Amino acid sequence: MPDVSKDTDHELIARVSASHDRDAFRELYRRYAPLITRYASKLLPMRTASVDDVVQETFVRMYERAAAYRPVGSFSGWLYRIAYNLSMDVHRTRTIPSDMTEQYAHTSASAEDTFFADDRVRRLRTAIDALPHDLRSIVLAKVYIGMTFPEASEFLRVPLRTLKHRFQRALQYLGNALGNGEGT
Amino acid sequence: MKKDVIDSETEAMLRDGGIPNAKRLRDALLADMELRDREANAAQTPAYETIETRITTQRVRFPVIWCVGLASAAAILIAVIGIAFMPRAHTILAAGDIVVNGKAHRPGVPIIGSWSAAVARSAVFSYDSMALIHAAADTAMHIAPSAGTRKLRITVTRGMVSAYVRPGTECIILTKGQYPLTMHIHGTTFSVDVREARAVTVAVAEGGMLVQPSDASMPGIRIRPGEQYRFAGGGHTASAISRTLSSTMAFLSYSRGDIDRHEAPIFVPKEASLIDNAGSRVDGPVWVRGMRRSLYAVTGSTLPKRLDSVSDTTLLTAVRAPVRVRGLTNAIRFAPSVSGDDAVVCDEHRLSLIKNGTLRWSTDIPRAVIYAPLITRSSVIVLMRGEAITLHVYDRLTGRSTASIPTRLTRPFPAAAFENTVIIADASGEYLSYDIARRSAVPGRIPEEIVTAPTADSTGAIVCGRTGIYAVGIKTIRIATAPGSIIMPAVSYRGNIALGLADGSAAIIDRTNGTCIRRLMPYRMERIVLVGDEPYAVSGGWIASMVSGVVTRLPGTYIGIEDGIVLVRDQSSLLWYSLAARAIIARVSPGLSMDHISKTQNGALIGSMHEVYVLK
Repeated sequence: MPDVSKDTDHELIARVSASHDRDAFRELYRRYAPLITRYASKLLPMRTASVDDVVQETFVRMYERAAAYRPVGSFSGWLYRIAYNLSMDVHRTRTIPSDMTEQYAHTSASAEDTFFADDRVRRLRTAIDALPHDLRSIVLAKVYIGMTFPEASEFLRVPLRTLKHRFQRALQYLGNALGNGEGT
Repeated sequence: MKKDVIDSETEAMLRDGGIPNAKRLRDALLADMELRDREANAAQTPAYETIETRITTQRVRFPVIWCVGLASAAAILIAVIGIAFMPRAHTILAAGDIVVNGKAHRPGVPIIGSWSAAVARSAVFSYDSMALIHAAADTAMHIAPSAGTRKLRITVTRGMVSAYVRPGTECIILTKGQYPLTMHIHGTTFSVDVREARAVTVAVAEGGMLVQPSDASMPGIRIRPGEQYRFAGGGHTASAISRTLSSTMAFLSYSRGDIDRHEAPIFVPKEASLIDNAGSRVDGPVWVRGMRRSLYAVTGSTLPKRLDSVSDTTLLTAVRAPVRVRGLTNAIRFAPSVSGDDAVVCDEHRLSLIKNGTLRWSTDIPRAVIYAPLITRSSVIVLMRGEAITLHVYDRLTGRSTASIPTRLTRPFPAAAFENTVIIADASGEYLSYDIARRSAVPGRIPEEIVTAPTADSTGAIVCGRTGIYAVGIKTIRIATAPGSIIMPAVSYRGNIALGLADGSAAIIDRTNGTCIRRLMPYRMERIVLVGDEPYAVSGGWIASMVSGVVTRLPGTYIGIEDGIVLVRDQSSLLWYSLAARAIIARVSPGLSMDHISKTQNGALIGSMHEVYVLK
């Protein structure tokens, strides 16, 4: 087996693109799978099964579309975008987290978090799920991924001013949603 | 990417952007960020083999589609030109072909090296000289040999695989279901079916195999020829049970995932056998519907023994049954109290102690008892209502009245005991500390109304006012001020105190300095109970450790808990559910409406009129 551990991301993806090189692909998986898992987990809280799907699908797409990759930006940015888009697809389906339907014998981090989660968090997540897609994607990118306005603008391909305006609208919506459910 | 704080741009937007409830939103965002960060840290990265298999499968689709198209075209050409003149098209898949790493292989062709396979149609092929493998249609798997050994590792992600493994070869099968299993196989014929998402069926035709649950520390299951096992939700449960038992277990009977349908596993120690009611020997592991001590006996000798005489306490822990208490003729009040083998019940006129299911003593009581009796090491203590509340003490051994102490209390809570002292707290703020050995009572008071029953640990008792938390005993010490209104009894553990507050939250207070060290929002928490030395939040059909965070869904509605065994009820039955084993260990259907069940804090016993069950 050739040693690919010292190759750069660009070299590895080029090899995947040219010959579907499994060793190169495996190395990219080794480098980025944990990061993409963390990333998808943040975008899809309490949806363990969906996170698995997103991570798998991200790498399958990377493998299939390796030829479409252009080394103008970072490889990681390209991979994150794939994961982000797939996560947004999951959000659009609005499925009930499968973890909640487990048998009583099952204990999972999701059940724990559901049980102990701060009520504010529960309401906030419900409100975020209820946001229109264009607003939700900005909140997730800005707050949970931690992008700056210019980064989010470029990542989401939304003009900067539009993005700021939408972000403000999203926060207003979330603020109202939290206020409506609060007793005190 | 990691973020622990809200960035300055968002802060500015929250501050100056006219956002309603901005502070509340900011707090919620911060809490959510922290929680998501925790979830992300705990997330498991999918296994690489799964991805590789998927890639292979993806790549297979195109050849398959093209091949089917080509095959159709070829068939037409054959019809037109005539088969005799048609050259053989080796690139077209035929029935039985498989695709390995994107290349078609003929059945029976030996394949060497690590590879992933996506089987378009049912196929038989051989792996070097180590195994003959049959893969059903639409199977995806990955096979890898261990270098320099005769070990074969097969990961089946979808479909059905059966194989003959040549003697001398060790074949390890991994499945990627909800309950992953590793199967170590030596020279045998077996099949593994992973068509269902959360169930794996394993069947053995000859030889034998050992199935090891995903947790390598657990004992495996030996499957013998002709047996078929199906691993589903119950597998998980049964695995957990096995952890609590002796490591000498050789056979483990799974409950087919139907724990909630009364089935439970029977465990047979190594070199033991099962004896049924008729005294006949039952070979091998069995699936048992219901757990009754009289149903099966276990013996390690040649003579059959009934289970009652088996001294293996580990086994008895697993096999327990509810026993109906005899000798009760009047309708009892409250749920009985239990301590060791003793159960104390009271009706309108009498107080009775039952030992091992037999009435030991019964004594007249002058007035109605207002709470379930309290059992201490040497005494039985009851509160009786008169013009004021009177504390009556009875000798636990004989039932003789040893003390009767009138109090000024009018609205007492159930009493709590620690060492030789009993604490009775009154809503007025007054409490009574009764020393059993000296037979003397000392009154005390906290400077506010008491709102919950006192709770005791080994060092003393805790009473709570609306917000004040006090340690009481010889003297009263204010420990802390709660961060909200206290509404349920506090639980003291490992130098901390767990509280339930009116806003639905729970607070953990450091007893040494009185500070709140943690706030939790358990989902619809109804009470906090102590299990071992951990506080648990109880919420209807759920119970969750407030320390480890492990949440357990109960098979019914919570009634009470003692020694880690939760008493729950469903529509027709009482169930005893072991938290450690994560399984129902006993069940009884009294034939009465479950609405008549008295609730109790010690869940080992339940009273419904004069029908009382003790878990033995």
